[in-house]
Amino acid sequence: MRSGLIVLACTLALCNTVCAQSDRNAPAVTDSVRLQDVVVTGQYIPQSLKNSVYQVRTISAEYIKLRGATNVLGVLDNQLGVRFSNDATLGETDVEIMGMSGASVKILLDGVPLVDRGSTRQSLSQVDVSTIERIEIVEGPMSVVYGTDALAGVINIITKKHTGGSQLSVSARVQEETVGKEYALLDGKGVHNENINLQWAKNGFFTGAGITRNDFGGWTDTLTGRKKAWKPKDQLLTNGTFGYSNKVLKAWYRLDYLNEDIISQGDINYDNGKATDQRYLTERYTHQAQAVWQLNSRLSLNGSASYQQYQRRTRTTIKDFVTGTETLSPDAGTQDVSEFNTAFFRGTAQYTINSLLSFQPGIEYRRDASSGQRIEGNPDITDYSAFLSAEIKPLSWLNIRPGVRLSKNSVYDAPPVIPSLNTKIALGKDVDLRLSYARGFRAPALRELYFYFFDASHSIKGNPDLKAEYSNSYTGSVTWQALHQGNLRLNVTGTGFYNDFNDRIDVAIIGSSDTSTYVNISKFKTTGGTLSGVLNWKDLQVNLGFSYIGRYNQYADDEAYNKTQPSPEFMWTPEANGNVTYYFRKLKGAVNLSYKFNGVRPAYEVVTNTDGSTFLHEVKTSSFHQLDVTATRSVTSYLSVNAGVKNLLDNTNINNNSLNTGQAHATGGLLSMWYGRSYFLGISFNWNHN
Amino acid sequence: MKLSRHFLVLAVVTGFLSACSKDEDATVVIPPSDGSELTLNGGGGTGSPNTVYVDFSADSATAAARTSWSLGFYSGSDYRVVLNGFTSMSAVALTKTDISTVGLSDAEGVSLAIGQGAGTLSMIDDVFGDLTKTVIAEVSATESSNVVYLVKPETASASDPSTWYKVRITRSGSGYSLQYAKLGETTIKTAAITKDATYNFTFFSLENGATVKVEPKKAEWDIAWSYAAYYTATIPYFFSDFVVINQYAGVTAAKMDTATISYSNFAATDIAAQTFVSARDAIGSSWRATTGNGIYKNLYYIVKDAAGNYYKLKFVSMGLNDGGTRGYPVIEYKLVQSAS
Repeated sequence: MRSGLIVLACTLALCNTVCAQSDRNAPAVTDSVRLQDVVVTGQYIPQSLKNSVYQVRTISAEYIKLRGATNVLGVLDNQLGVRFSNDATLGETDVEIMGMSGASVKILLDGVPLVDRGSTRQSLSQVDVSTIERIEIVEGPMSVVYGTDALAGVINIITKKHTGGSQLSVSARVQEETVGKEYALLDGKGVHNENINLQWAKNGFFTGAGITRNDFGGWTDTLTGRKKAWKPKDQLLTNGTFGYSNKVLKAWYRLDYLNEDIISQGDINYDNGKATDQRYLTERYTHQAQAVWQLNSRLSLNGSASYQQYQRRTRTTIKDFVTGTETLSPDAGTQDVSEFNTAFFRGTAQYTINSLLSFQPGIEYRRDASSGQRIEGNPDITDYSAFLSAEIKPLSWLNIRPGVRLSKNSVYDAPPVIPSLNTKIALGKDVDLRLSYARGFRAPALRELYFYFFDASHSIKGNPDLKAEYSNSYTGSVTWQALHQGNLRLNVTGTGFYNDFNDRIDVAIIGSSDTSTYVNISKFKTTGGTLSGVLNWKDLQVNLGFSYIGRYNQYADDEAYNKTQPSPEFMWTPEANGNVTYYFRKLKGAVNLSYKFNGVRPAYEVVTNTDGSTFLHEVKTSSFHQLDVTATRSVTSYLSVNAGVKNLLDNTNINNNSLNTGQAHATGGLLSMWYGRSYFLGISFNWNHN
Repeated sequence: MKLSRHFLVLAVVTGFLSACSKDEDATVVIPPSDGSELTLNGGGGTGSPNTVYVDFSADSATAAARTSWSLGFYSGSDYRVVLNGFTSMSAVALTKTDISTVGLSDAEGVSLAIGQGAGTLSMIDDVFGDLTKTVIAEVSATESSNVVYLVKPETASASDPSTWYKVRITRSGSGYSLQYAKLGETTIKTAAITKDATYNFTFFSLENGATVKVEPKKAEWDIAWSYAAYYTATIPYFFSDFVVINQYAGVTAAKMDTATISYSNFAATDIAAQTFVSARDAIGSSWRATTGNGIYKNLYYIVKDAAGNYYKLKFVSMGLNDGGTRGYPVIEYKLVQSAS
């Protein structure tokens, strides 16, 4: 498509212009690929990983670049406990962390929660990777500071920011990638990613802008018609920032814009010469203004305000190949606009009384409004919260952080008190133990409160009387800096967790009613642990990890089945991952091998025999190995090239032996996991003038 | 600044052009229709308001509102009454025979909720159309053997029995006598219903208190498309885009797969080898799936009408990703062999 060519042409033109102007060296890749040490998620002030009371995982920009990722999912794929599920119909992907799906995972952009229209965390793949400085993943509820949805954990996407001083920098990237064996140069089949980012700063003022095109051409698989197994998706992402900083104050505004077009073409019906096509058009504006103000050595204030507009249009057209005309489909539900608007503010103060005691009080305001098909009316919901935590260090080896959150909601009865207690105990100079208890909660979504769907085979209505889901969560971890001698370092981390979820919201029919509704009915539990290690030796970095995660099996406690067909309480899945990176100093290059094993994932389902009797069947989703090999190298001081093979083992669909296939809403059979082995080649340009 | 000007131009241009269409379809040649095509006026939607009766030999389609009737009184020699199986009507027998003693208290402990997992197959007539297996037992010549039934129309509420009806049917000469009222009402209405041998049934509306014309004469329709009562596993389930055959007039149908003989190649000589089925669901829902697939394009049907003509029938569109409109299905049919 032409837009792509123009972005590319301009990118190259810009390269030439600025190359001529500059003689500075771009930072060499080899100096920077290292675990970022400082984290911010849930912290009073930016904190080193070692001193954080939370066990935080980080993914750096360098790693994102090295992996050739074009979206966030492209680097989360080898994290322990992270799994994806793809919805082939909608062209969307949901993420699961530690056995809990999207609805229980909170996605933050610089600490600001991103809006999603349903429980699928689509927002994760609608963030421009080129603006990401770091991704922080914290497992376990962080509901005291982040509120609803942070049950399984938080994924906080930290954007690149001005670091002080005068600056003029330009970075750009062009990356071309195949989708399995499908590829066309610059447009259509394949993945096409181009972007430009500019940064400028002087006298404390700073500004920046970026634009990215991220097109996915879809994948045909074994289909022969117009229909595709993976829907083509075109994304245009832009962002702009401006702000001011001095020694005590930093304030900035940032706007992220997304335009996404998912195209679903139907096969031609040769009996009438027509085909039905659908497009899902998403527009997202994420405004945020943030400020950090250090009043004195003891007191600092943080404020984050955000306004988000999310609109998703569904457009269905019928294309007539006989007459060559295209008309809008008149069917119910085929033309729709769903809108979500969120206003958000969080303010915190950090006050240090002395070296033993500091506090963080905070307030949060959030208003969500929605309209669209299957939503009754134009509801809005407002949430007011206040929270307070303290960090107590009574002994040099002990750090205790108790916290509590109070909420009031305009619609449902918010859980009155959300407590948490985090501790960090230094068992020695090199060994840290973290133990925590936290209450997590998930507020009923607008959709669950105001859903309205009545047709021939559905009668479902939302329930404004819902309560929040809540969980009791226990986590523990031990980190051991086993070796740190010269250029040899080895860190080992073991973690364990147990989460007990109550009042989970599910659809059910109550009493003799003929309408289904949402009720606080079900339970869920997750438990498990991970063991991982990082070895750094000279120019080699090796990460290895293993996890074993159990998800609750509801039939274990089901009276209809637990006597005749007892089944285990937990369904366990093993996972293992590995990352090997080697830096070639002389060549100014690096090679990365990224591997993950996703073990067999069991589940239970009820199968109905033809005579109406039912039995419990263990469903297994097959295991699979993922392997990527990528390399990057600086060619000149501004230009670097990266290339690689993604999904080297050529995964496509994976098996699931469900017997409930072919029915409405069945999820069994083949699950589309990946689209085959892909190759990519990219050039990136980076120029800085300090 | 030079750079930012570049950038602005770039942003504007990119924004403009990224909206351009991705349709790059090659020219497609569509063969013309072979035979007659009919668009059925189902009234639109998944729970379409109409039942459409099709007569192949007359090239005609007649639409009737699904909920316009409640009970169908059989015109044949037996005394049989059917529930409206083109709606989610449910019914249950009481032990009482005196309708005036039946009231809201008789609904205590009785659930007539049906569909979406609720209800049992005993609340609806036989889904295969066997008239000896209706909810309402054969109307007995012994007046005192005929019990009262509670009937919940599709439009009534399962949780509010005052919206239900009580009915009792007895024989009256060569016809029927119907007593009925809303469950909470004490005034019992009556209606006399006669048999008309040119129709399968005489239809009566409890809401309107009158007989209504619904089906064409029994020799004047072959198949009917409608939202209809059917089953899944062992529970009742109401299907959109369901097709019944006029089994009481003697229509039968055989299901064909293009893997055996293609639709266009099917000829009179192929008829003898087929197995014709006389059940209500001979076509049923087998021709389509309501999720994903839509119409199974490899399937078509051979329908033998009451006069002995054989037609081949295929479904062109039903409105699920096939360029059609939901609730306005399009069918194509062609005479294969005339009745001799």
